[in-house]
Amino acid sequence: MDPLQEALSLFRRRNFNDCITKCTVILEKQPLDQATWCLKMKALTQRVYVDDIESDRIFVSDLNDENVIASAPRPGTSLKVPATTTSIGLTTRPLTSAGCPLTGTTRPDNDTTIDSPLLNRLKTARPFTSQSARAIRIGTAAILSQKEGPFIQISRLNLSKYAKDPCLSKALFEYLYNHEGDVRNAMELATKALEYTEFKDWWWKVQLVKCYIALNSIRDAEKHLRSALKQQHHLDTYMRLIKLYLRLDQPMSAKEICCAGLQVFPNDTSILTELARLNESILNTDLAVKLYKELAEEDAMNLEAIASVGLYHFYNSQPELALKYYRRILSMGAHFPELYNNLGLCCLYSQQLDLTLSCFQRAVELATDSTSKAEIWYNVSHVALAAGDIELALHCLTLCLSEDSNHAPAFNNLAVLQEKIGNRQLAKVHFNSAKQLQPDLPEAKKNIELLEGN
Amino acid sequence: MEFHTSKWLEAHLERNAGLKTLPRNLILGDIFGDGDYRLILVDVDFGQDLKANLKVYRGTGLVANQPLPVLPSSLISFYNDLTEPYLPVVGVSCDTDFLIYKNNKPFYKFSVPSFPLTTTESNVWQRLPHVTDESDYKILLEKLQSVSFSTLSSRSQKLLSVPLNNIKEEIDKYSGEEPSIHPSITCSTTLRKNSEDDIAVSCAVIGTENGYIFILDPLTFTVLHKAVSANIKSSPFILQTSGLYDVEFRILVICRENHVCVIRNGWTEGKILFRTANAIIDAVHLSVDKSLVVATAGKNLSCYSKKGNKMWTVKTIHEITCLCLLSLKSSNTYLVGVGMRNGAIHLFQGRHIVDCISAPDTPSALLFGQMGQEEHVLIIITIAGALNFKILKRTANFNLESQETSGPVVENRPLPLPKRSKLFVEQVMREKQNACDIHQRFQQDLIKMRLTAARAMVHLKPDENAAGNEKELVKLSARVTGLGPTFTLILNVENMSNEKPLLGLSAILHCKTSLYKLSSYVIKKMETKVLEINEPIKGDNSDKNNLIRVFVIKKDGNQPVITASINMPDTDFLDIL
Repeated sequence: MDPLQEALSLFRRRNFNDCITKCTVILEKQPLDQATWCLKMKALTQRVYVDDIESDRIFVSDLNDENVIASAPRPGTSLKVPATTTSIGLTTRPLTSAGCPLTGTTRPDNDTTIDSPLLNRLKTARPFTSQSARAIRIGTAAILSQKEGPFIQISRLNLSKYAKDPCLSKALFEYLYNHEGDVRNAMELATKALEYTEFKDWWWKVQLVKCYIALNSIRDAEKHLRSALKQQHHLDTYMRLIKLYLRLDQPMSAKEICCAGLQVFPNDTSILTELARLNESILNTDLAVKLYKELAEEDAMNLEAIASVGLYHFYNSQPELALKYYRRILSMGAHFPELYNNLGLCCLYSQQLDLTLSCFQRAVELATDSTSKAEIWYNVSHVALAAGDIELALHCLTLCLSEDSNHAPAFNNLAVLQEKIGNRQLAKVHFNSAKQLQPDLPEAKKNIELLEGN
Repeated sequence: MEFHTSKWLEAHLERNAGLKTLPRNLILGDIFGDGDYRLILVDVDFGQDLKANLKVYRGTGLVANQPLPVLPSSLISFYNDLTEPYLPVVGVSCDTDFLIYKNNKPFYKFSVPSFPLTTTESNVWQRLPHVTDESDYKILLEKLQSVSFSTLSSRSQKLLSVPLNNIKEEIDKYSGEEPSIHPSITCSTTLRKNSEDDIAVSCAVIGTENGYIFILDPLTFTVLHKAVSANIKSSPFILQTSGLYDVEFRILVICRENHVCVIRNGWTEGKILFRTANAIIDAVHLSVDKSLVVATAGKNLSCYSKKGNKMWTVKTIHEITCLCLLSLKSSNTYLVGVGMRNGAIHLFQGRHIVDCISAPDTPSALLFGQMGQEEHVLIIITIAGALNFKILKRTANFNLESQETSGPVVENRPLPLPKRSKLFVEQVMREKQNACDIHQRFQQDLIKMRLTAARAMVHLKPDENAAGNEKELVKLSARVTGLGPTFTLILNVENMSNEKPLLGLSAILHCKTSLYKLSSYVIKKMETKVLEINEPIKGDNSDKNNLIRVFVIKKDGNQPVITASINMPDTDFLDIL
């Protein structure tokens, strides 16, 4: 078989490593074989390719963000200062210190670790851009894997030449951007190629936007995405524009794009997901739930949609309905501690006491990382309180704090229990730690006042 | 609430202005069309014979003063047409006449149409001029007395109060005139015709003694609509309107009989909305939520919904004398000013007091609005005759948000219980049927959970705990700052006990030396109550499990008092830079 043909076949079967070796062999014989060169680039790119739309983490509080416009936005138009809502349910939904709803589901874009501890650490004036760290790491890893030196000497590339070659330019760009992580050269290539195509190729515009975003030049990115959309309605472009507006903290514009995208791609799950999340984060819960339901109808296996509907019912004081949704997730084969934790809570609040603790037991056994362990113990403490077992509740809260020493509500509850059993001094200390950890925790504030009042 | 810094500027206080002004007898209007809002008020002289003057103030100075024929009941101002320049007219309700002034000159007079007499009364009056005998007078007067006094015409009412020997003269006064009832106007207000704009044509609405409400055409001053306020005897004394005459409107008629009636488009008879237990003193309609705030005798301030349900009642500290609406359109805030005896004026937002102001003495009339060029002026006229202007500071902030959150929820709103789902009912049934099993199962699980928790507690070293060592009452917390590769570690040792000092403590730091280099590994003296230790740590890590452990030990102890494991942060993202 022709070795190139074989390499192609390997590529199609996604056997990239073998494909790469095959290509290397061919290239040793014929160093100027463009087809093989292109194939090798593609294989290398594919090996490390990630869908960067979903994984691009949004830094809501970017440290040196120069794109900040209004410091006091009108209510409902910012994710940083969400509109205050009057709580309708009997149980109020927990919010982050910025006032966004804590979802109870973990999502790729709301990275919960980027909260105060990290930001506190970053008090020094070192610049910290929000460029995704992944791209860099991939780049370095790729170089390490090639001991005999890099496949392409980027510094020697004649980018203008390749920009004019429509067969090679796109593959080369992807290689540069994804494999090498060399945003600057990738951007140069994209700019030249775009000039060569007389700004008629939307694909290059979107690629250029990727580079702009990596370099934190968001307004330029917006311009190019909008012009790309005029040429071609593409889902990728819509998604990038939505993400971009979220990054600019303009939920209203993001919403508009979602709606425009939905008109071109009706019932598209990724846009629906985005729109639903957006509505949820600006506390437009009813609409968010409607969208999640639509999403679940469109894609019956969408865990996020089902979990979010369940979540809504839970905080809408209908735990029995929430239970139904979480059980559906369970029957879909999901098996993780957070799910059991939620099932346990639903059981507790819908009075299905015989199932409550077995769910929590399972959650405790399954939990591995300390944050979820802490949350589970915190929730078990609520079961203990409901059962009137103060000792168990104390144990649970202590365990919670040993896993996560920054858990302010646990400190507060521990203090309440200590006060109840007569340790006022200890209670005071714990209340103060709760307040220190989360200065806007109303319970701690109120309790300290009460304690000092007596 | 902050009382110490006033939100008001004391603009003008004239203690001996000698004004006697009743509520609803003062208005603010741009009556000369020059954008300079004048204060127009009725000053009553309660001397030998009642006299009243219409006074116009420009700023603090009196610019016009004209006598009125009789004591007016109320004063309104409205735009009757939109010809340039925009000049509002001033309407004064004097007895049975509604006098309209434009440009401070008499412009038009509207007289309340007469009502026919009852048959008995008209019979009497047909016969009266022909009677000469005193005994016949007596019979006729007795006949008149049989009719309810309030339904009699004013001349019969007067006749009944005249001594018998003067009756002849009294009757002769009216010879030739057809007797009829001319009820006097008791109150008036304005109703916008077709636009909510600031400058828009309004209709005058007047209420009469016998309970009739007339809506007048703004141009011709003829009756557009006539309605009786209720099917029972009612004498209105305050009118409040909302809506537009051409679209939809509502007139609230507050009557002396302690009830409030409502009249809507096209109704010829109003309906009673609600009754109050005590006499109504004053009322203010809030157009935002269409509620009516009513002050009644007995220090009560109540709020009634659009449908007439009582929403809340608060007791004020003194008797209320007058109310006024303070609408701050820029911040979309509507406050009710409550003037009370002793000169206190409280501003209410909903049921909460948001500000307290004091007047020289008991206010008799309050008014808030634009005066001169100043947008937010409160005019207070007191019973002693003082005239006081207060200007609301532009920076004034009534802290309304904190008010709303701290106040209790509206009483009448039910708890927002969710709908009972079918599933819920099924679960309840299951719970009822298997109550024993469920309980036993739960207790079993609870014991199991206690065991699990106890086991976890054992695994957890008693001294390594964020909640602190409860026996020794020591707490240790750590914080790492810096981006790396050099970090600063701040340890915070806290003494939780009030009685015991923490003495003889030292700390040992333990870490993988291949990963971190510490500036010191042992901290010997930790004698102060709270101690902060800063040490730069050189880190060079590729391992994920980068822990630094801290042991705090006592001099004589063989076990650490408290320990902590600190997860050192990644230095990964440094590669980005």
